[in-house]
Amino acid sequence: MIQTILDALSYGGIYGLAALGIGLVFGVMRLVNFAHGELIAIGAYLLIVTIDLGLPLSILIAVTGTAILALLMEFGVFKRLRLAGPAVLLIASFGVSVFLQRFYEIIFGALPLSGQIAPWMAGVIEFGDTTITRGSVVTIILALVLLSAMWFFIEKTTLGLQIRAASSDFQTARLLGVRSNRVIGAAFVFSGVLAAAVAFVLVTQRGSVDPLFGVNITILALVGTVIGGLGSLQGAALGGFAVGATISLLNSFLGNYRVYTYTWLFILVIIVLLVRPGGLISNKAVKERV
Amino acid sequence: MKNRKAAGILAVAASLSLVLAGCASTSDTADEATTEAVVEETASEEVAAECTEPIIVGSAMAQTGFMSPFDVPALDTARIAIDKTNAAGGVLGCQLELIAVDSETNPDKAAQIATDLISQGAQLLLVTCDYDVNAKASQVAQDAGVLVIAPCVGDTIMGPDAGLTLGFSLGSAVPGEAAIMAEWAFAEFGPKAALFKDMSIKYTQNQCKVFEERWTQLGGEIVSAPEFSQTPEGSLAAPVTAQVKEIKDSNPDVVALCSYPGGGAEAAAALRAGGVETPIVSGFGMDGAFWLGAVPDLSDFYFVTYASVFGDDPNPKVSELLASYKDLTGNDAATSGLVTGASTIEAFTLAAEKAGNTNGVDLAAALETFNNVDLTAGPTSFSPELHVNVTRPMAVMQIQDGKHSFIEYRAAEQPILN
Repeated sequence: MIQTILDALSYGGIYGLAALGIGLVFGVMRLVNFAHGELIAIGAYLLIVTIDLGLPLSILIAVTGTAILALLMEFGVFKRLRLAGPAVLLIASFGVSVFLQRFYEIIFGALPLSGQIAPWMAGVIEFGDTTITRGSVVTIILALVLLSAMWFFIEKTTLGLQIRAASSDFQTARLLGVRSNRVIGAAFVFSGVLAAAVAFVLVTQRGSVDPLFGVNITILALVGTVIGGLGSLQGAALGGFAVGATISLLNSFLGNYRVYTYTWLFILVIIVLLVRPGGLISNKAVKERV
Repeated sequence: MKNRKAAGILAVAASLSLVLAGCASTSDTADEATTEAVVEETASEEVAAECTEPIIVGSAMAQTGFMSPFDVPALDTARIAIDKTNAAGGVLGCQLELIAVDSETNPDKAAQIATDLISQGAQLLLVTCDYDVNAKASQVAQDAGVLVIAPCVGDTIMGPDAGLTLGFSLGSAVPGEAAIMAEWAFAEFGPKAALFKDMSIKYTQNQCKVFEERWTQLGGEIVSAPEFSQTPEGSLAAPVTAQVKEIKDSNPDVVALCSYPGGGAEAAAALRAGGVETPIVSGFGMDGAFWLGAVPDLSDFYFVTYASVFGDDPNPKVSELLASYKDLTGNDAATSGLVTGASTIEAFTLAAEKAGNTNGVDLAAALETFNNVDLTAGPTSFSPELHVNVTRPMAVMQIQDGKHSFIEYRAAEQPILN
């Protein structure tokens, strides 16, 4: 039972981080960035190909590389589409996503690249009859640290305040002197950093990376941002956490019916949206615009 | 004697008409003797010189997408076999020409490509190594009367079961593969087995189903059988901690892991991380070393596959093919499924020689007479009911301390056909 709860917390933590990364960008520019999965994938690729340099340096390269790719997406594609509507941005992000998947396939091959990033995270810790996996404990700690750091940044720094203001009402924030490009650029960078963190946890668990590495978690994290409340950063993190934790709990409790995990997940998602169409923590500005 | 002479004259006439029609004509009315004579005559250089158009081999296999790791190596070895066949004089005196279009693991796109390739004159269509993905393209070929081969499909559905009387696979199918897994593991470790069932695709579902049936036939007991699934992108859909605990608590002698990487590698890692040190037996899905980084220093892991790509396969044809593959691609083979690509062309060549033409119906009839025909993939047999191999010997491989090695070739004593 303890392991079930820890699994739910760690899975929820990873999905919460992924959803927050997506929510940050959505908040400031109403872009549902499907290419977030490819940010996660490049983070994982960089970790695996540079791990021989040592874990600290490998993490530094992965975080920097992922943040740079996020900025490249912004400057290379999305900045040029500032005046475009959300549908155009959505399709553009699809395009970036597919392009990067093919690019990874050409550079790294279609077969997975495998390797151990943090072998110390494998194995179990035993307390009498109870065993818990080290990976889940480390993931929970990492997610807590990163979510706390992001909370501090969003709530306590000037840039964070500007991002919150822009997320709430972008036009008014601009009129009040918030520099839009700086805020959007920052949102992409932090989105990239969070993607690298997710990549670290996932690649440690999976031990391999392939061109579609980040697709599944991105889709589910998007679901999380919707049920959390589009445009709300706390809502995104909460929604992502809820999705991840629910998948993990369903997987434990459904026993040999666990092939229906996703079926039940989406039934629950529909129920949540029927009860709270704006999400768990709705953002008024988004609701009015929609 | 007169009759034989007349048959010979008829055969020459038939073969000339074949050549004039660009090797694409049919001779449905030719009897067995005439067919054999045609083979002899068309083998002569005189007729070969008159072949004006090549035989087109169309490929709608996946060069990108999730099937590409299986399809691309098989397509590469088909290319190698085509070059080798052409150097030896071609098929029915005609050179083979490969036209390969990437179907991107997309069933609809594959069907469009199949239509296009057949309209260009393809007389053999190669399709992707998964029936679910190739079904539409295969049907296009079936409707057009063109032979369609999926080099490494491992499901008996590829053939008459799916209405594909012209559809074949050079793969070794699950009824044989999983029976070998069970028979070998029972002899080595039995009698208590745990199944770790990946429910993501039919291949792995059937693998565990056949394993279980053969295991109980042998007198073994299935002590636990937890399930898991992978995302379409190939990673675990949810943690498997609970399943690993269930297996550990059931105290098995061996774990049958019915899966494929990456989720299969994650599952193997979770078993070891969760303290399950029991031997693990698996199938072709876990062939290759590319996933081993996820479970470093893995030991007591065994799998049944086509051949060894680790330099110790006793079959010289396999060694020769692997060397040619490295020359062509610059890479070592990732998995041994690639032997089926070369065998596809070998089988087509032999069938065309036997049929005396490249008509789909005649080629299928010729293939159905194969009885332990020696191809690179091993002895190959087909029948009117079964267009996939279930009795072919397969390689039993082991991984100890992260290193692969060949144990033995072994055929299923009792394939499980439902």
